[in-house]
Amino acid sequence: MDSQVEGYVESVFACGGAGALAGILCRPERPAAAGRPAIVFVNAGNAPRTGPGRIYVRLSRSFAALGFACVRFDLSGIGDSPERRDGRPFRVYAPEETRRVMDELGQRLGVEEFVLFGICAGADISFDTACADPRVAGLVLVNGAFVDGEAFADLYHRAERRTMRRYYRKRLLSPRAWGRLLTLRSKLWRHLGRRLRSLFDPDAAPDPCRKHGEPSRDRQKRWRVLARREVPALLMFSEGSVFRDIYRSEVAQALERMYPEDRLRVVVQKATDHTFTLLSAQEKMAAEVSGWLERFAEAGGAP
Amino acid sequence: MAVGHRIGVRRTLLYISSGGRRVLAVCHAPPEGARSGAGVLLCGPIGVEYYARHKTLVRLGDMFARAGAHCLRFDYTGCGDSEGTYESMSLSSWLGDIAAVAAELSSRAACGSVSICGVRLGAALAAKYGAEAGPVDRLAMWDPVVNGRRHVDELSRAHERWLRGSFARASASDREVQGLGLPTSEAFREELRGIDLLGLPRAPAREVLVLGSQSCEDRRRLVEHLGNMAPTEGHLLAGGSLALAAMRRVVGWILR
Repeated sequence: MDSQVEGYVESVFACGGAGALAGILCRPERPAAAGRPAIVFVNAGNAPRTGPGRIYVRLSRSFAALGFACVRFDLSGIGDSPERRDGRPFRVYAPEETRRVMDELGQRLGVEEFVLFGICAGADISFDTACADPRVAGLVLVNGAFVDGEAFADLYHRAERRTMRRYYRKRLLSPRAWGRLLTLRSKLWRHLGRRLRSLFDPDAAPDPCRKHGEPSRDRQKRWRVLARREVPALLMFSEGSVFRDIYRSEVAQALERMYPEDRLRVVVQKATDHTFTLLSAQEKMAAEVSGWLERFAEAGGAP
Repeated sequence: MAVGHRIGVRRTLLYISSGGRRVLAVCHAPPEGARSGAGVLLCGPIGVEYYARHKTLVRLGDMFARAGAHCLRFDYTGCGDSEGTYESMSLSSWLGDIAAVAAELSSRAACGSVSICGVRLGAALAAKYGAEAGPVDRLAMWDPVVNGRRHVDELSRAHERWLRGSFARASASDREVQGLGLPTSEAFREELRGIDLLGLPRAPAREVLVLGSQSCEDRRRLVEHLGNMAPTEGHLLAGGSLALAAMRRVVGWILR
């Protein structure tokens, strides 16, 4: 996938006046077919607009070669976009800024529909933006948490333990893993130490009163908004991501019950870490998303 | 195209042509009325170090601009937002990138020669550029990579540590191209291994500053070696906020 992709043109993209957002617009070399949505890449956590391991650069170039205009940009305070000085929380201004990028793209390219693409925190911002803006016609959400702030810390620790169990189950038959364990070089010792310390620290214990298996009411309401609008959503999780376990325990059941079946696709990518570090993992992801986008474009919004 | 203001500093993204490809650069322009006529080029690290130090380089660019200098940062060919892939990376193309961005900077700042601040591998590349092409007025080297072979080994070990316990399973092709975290060809890795600043035949700049956040024999020898060719200062950073202390020292030293 890192071999030279042809068929795209890149230019600098700036959005807004003072406090403008920095980005790169990546367009198909030939004019895109009418009615194709533009794709907006939302920062993966604190990683600049190139994405972790340059994944947003590779993806936007290959999607542009397929005929989709793409923009990768920096939210305020990330990469090259200056920090805001109004003290507003990130989760409030990030969806607003994503919508500003959509406004600018709409004006420049005459596009009316958008697919938002986000990894990790970018998936959550994309979700929030889609709930507030009917121009979002599709979502590619990779390793999103989809859980609200207060419950997150508690859920994260529980899910992390589940992820570890999955990992060590997989490694049971690996002689190398046993070697590392017996020579005290395994990360398992560090995890066990942390677990032991948490037994003596009442603040570290998870809240036993929280009911699991259901997303918060507010979240459910917002997923329902998207379900009613029949927004096609591709949810991807890497096998090594804690968010896969959060999704399974907290979100999956309710979401898969309420969302139109033909609009929701959930994919777990094997042998992949949270940030899709390896090129082979990025290639698999690109193939999955490209197929979904092509079906999306052919069906006029329903892959 | 201007992308934002921060306390009077204007950041602008621009493409610069280098060896038939476009590299993306960011210009930090000083506020009107505060221009000193100095031009400073920032050469950053690669791989995981690029992500770890990105914010620091953005802040450093702003600090230089606030102090009155035009400052340019950029992504090497095949990295970040610049054109190209790992197959197009080579030491000569990256030194060509530095030359192209330095030329752009010197015309923007209307200065005869530029100063450079290089971080990690960026410091090694800046020194090679200064010694082979130049001219460089002042060169600040922050945690410079002195020996390329050791750096390649360090990046490769960091990549292994990152993947350990992560579920990621490297295929044969991953192992071939991604041993350093970022994709690179074997030919390029061999070029990186060949970097040895202790063998620089000429002074890389009129004056040199070497900053280290840890005590290191290689760096001590580098200061000694460069000191034989040009006025060279070596400093070990100590204390709490290393990045801030280093940034202040670098800006103060280059623009003094």
